[in-house]
Amino acid sequence: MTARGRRKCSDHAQTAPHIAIVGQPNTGKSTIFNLLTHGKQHTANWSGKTVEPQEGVCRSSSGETYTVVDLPGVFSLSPHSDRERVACAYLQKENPIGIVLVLDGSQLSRSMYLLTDFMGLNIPIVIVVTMIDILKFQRRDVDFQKLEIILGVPVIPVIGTHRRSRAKIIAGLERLMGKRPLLCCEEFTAACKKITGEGSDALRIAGYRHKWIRDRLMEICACPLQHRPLNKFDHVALHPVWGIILAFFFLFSGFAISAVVAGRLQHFLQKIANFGVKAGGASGIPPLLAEILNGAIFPGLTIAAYLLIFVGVLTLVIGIMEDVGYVARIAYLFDGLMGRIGLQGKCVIPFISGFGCTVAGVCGARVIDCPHQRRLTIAACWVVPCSGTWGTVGFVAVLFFGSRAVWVILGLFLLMILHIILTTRIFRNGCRSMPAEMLMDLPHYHRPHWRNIFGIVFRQMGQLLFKSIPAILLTAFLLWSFLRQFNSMQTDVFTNQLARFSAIFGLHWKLFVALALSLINRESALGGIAVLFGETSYILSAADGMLAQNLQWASIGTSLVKSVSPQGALAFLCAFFLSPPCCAAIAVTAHEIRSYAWTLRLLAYYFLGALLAAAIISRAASLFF
Amino acid sequence: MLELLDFSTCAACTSYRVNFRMVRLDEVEENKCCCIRYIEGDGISLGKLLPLGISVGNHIEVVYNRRFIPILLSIGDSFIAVSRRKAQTIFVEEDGNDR
Repeated sequence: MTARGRRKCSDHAQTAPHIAIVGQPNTGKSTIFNLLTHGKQHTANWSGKTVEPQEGVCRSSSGETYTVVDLPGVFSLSPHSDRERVACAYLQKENPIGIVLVLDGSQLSRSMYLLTDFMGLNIPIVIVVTMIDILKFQRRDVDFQKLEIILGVPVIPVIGTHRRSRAKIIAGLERLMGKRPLLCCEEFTAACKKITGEGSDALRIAGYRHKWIRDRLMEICACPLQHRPLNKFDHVALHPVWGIILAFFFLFSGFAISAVVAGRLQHFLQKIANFGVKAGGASGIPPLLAEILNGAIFPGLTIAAYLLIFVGVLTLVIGIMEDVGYVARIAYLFDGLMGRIGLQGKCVIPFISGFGCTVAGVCGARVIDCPHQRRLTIAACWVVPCSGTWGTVGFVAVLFFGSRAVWVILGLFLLMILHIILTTRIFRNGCRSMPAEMLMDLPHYHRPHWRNIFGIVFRQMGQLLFKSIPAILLTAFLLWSFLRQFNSMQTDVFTNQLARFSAIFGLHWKLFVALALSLINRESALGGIAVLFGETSYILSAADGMLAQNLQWASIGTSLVKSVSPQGALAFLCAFFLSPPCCAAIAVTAHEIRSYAWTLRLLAYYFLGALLAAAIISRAASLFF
Repeated sequence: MLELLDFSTCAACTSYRVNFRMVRLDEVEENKCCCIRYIEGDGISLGKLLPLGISVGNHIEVVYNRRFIPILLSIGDSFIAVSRRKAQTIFVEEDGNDR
């Protein structure tokens, strides 16, 4: 959407009536929101994906405009977590003109608990029942028309990912605005008043609510509710040993496939870039333009293309795992392990989000209710390598170690786990006795929604293309311009001093500069590597003080391998892997934790830790290389 | 401690009311049916349990009860994972028959 389009939407949003989409977590609210507003909310098959209200504009076929608000999932209107407080605060303060209550059709007995919270409230409601395809797969016949008669509000069964469901939901919104149906059941309201009047507590009311739900389901379901058997795949996926092996297998396969595909493409693109350089030299383009292209643009573009493909494939693999519902199983399996370091299984979910972007991982920690565990999770999440990190690591690892790069990446992964354990111990702040309790629903598996998944992949690649790759090119250009200012003598003095300093940590000075640049933006490290190692004849003949007549391209890879030893490469990989994330993630952390001092302590810990680890790895690697 | 409620009948499991005994949820064997009879905890922890169906009088089945992983319960048409520590606050009447 263009900026003009966004401004138009914002204007509409302020004047059009507000309709809130409410429901328990993982019922398909964001899917319904995307369907109505043609939005691009990130959806996935695990609870807690949406962390903030999102607004969009929906237009009906008759020209009516509604502002639709997608709220984070709530289990009840008595909030017990930050996400639930956000949703309930919105409902209280913004007074939406109507509510779309989303129920999960495959788990009606649980979804309808939230429905009972709305009994007797003076807010018009329309009920949308999602996951109808799973309900049909379970061979359960539910009479939604009867439910509509019982509740007195429209009940619309839909498959959220089908476009034709949009017309049905919009017809429901028009009924909502026209007839303003209220959810009421006198028998239920009277019984609750009686229980409350007897001075009873939440347990009795909850017991009555569950009984009321069971009775209604007996009326509308053709067959009595039965406990459904565990999926056959889950017998393996949830096994305490085989399940963990399977989880590691899926994750590593994703990384391995990404590295192989991106590596092959990068090799191909390198050849094209070399050809382009030679053609440019032969075609007589202006020397300065040729220098800019060869010194900054071509190196940056080559590496950026590698990064794009690597991130695309990795996002596809993780997106499939999220969409089918496997991520929640991973959280279940790792609860025991996480409990040993003071966390819970749900903390795995921000870690998996962090593989795409650390900002997403930090924000994703909102699924954790306990503030202390959320803080610990964010502290540990910084070490989870984002797409920018994997791009650089994959490039350098494949370059130096070829087929053994997989073992190097495995080693880095183990190092990450050790780092997480150490970080949680250091930042626990004396709260050792804090219990790590998990309470989580396991979503149903469903077939991957390829449109959703590829939408996420292309959005991620688009974000990379329009945000990160310009950052790589800009860094490459600025660094190239900076180096061009100095004559050879000044460059030598600067580089000698930097080389002495970086050698303490086992790092080549150019890689140290790339490491420092990664604080701006992880991908900037690649821009720095591209410029510093993409030698041109200009740099080689700088001592002559003359611009070389025939620019020769030396591939970045060859230059890197010539200049850096394998132990130096290992030291850089280790330092880069453990270094702080980009400044965007640091800023978001300070915002989430609401403490700049704590964030700065974390930043210092990560930076010093990365350099120390590099020094140790470099010296240890010297024994083997 | 919360008041024990008297649910002398459970609509979902009356047909299974044979050989009942009162146990902690984390002591129930796998593939056993049980009925929740008592929950310890304050309003905050109850507020998290109740909407998921862990409520007195509800009928549940223990699918997995193994070391190092949370207990997996089948409640109605949902599967709920409960950490072992949380399960120690829930008391159930265990059906002596297998599922």
